[in-house]
Amino acid sequence: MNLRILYKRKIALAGFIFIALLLIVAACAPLIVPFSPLDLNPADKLKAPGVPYLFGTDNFGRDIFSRVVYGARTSLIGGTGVVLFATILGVLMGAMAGYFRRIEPWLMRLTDVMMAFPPLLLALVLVSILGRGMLNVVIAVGITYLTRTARVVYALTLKIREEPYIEAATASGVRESMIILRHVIPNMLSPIIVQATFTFAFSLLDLAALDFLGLGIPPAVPSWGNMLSEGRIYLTRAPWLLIFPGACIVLTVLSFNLAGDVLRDRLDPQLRRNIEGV
Amino acid sequence: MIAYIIRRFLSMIPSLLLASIIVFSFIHLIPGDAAQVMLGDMATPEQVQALRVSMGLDRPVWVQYSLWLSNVLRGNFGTSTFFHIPVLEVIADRAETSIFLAIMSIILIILIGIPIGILSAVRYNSFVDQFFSGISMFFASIPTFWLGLNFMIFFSVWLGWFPTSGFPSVLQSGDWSNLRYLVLPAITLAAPNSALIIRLTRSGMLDVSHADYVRTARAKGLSENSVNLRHIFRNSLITVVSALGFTFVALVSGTVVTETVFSLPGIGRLVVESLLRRDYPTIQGIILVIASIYMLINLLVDLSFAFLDPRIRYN
Repeated sequence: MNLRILYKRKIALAGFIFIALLLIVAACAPLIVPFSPLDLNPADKLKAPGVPYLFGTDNFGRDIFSRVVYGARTSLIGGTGVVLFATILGVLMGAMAGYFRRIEPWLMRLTDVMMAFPPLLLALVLVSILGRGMLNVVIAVGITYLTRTARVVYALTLKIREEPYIEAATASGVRESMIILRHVIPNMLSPIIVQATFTFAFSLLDLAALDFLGLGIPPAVPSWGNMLSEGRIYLTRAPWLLIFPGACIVLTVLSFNLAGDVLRDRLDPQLRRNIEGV
Repeated sequence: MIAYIIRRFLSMIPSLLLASIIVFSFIHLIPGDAAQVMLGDMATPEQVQALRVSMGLDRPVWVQYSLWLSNVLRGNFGTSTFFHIPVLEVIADRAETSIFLAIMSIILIILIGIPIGILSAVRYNSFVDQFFSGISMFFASIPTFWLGLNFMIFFSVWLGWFPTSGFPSVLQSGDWSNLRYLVLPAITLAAPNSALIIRLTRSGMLDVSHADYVRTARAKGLSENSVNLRHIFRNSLITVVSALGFTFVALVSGTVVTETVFSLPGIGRLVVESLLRRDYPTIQGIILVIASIYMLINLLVDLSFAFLDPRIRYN
């Protein structure tokens, strides 16, 4: 058992380091990139990786390395947006459903029905209706994770509302809204954090898929998904258009999955199933 | 049991109604004039007005909904604004590819996911377990479309083992060797979902591995294989079957991406094309059909529990 945890931690450490690196790169993007991610340079189009184009260039002669660096920014902003949207609304909805039993049947029926819609399909439809753009994409992807978070939080609230400290708070006349905000929600922060980490990982895959299908962030914005979508037709001629942005997605999602795994083991071993079942 | 089945069927009705309201509301979420948006800027005012009238968009919302619903209940999902034929026919034309693709991936998922899941649980914490849990986390972290593109480069372009794209109909030509067009897409689709099944089979088995009846089975001297398969695995089947039911939604999402990558003429690609063409009646039809199938599958999964676990007595 100890061996397994040590081994896991080593790999997870690599994940945490990668996430930290990614944050630094995304924050300092303008200082790192050798070229502007948007500069067209037709004379140097489809150049293989080397000097001065570290990761090569695309069909417009744009530097892939610079675009990948700016893509990290887009991905992190998108993933953070989805997590904030899904977590804030999901926690409020789940806690309210668990605490006020009256609205419970409605909310549970709604989340049940939402589960019947394939997440990517729902997101595609919403983006096509609302229009391409970061905010719309975040809402479209966030809605699916909102219902999942709400279900996890609902189950937790049912347990917490039976605790003596809730009874004590009720007895001393604390308002119900205050009980939910000050007593119920803070007591399930660790499973919420674990859930948020996995939401981040999976939402990056959805965001990339939307970009790839042409219903995501506008094509002018450098994002890993958009780069793959544009590079697709050069599959055989210039594989580096696909290798670098794709590898970045895999490494980022993997790092967040590893981080979530370790956080789950550390913060809250009992909850494993609740979240894995989603 | 029959009473339970009937009641369970009836309980689907409110869910289906709610799903239909959500699907119906798509058109009303469109900013501006829905008919104008669907026909594009090239349409004449007369065409827009004609579509508005034919879809009933000029009437009050609740009249529109009840008309739409009564049509849907009679199997009329409206007319595609792109193909100008009934939506159900558009869907039926594309169904073959998606059904074959789904069947092939589910077979792969079961053949890969369950045995590896069992092995990982039996050899809990060993090198084998860690190896496969690493592999499955890796495949759960790969974007489906990127995996598909890599398979395409490697197996189709470099090795030339499989065709790169398209799918000529099996049913029309009667040529079953056409299924080779679906091998790479099916593997692409199966990879992330097998990872999920491996994890759930493993954790389902570990959950019951400390039960009293397992200790009894060991104590009376049954072989390890018999304990693992007949006592532990059989009792964890419920987890596995409900996971397979859940996989359906993930499969549909994956199909949309995979069919686009491999240019397959299936329902998944129809979704993306219809969205880009703003053919909303077709989209509504597809999503409603998928949501209904999902609810039906979940019903079957629930009913199968009674057969898998005799302790479950529904009353």
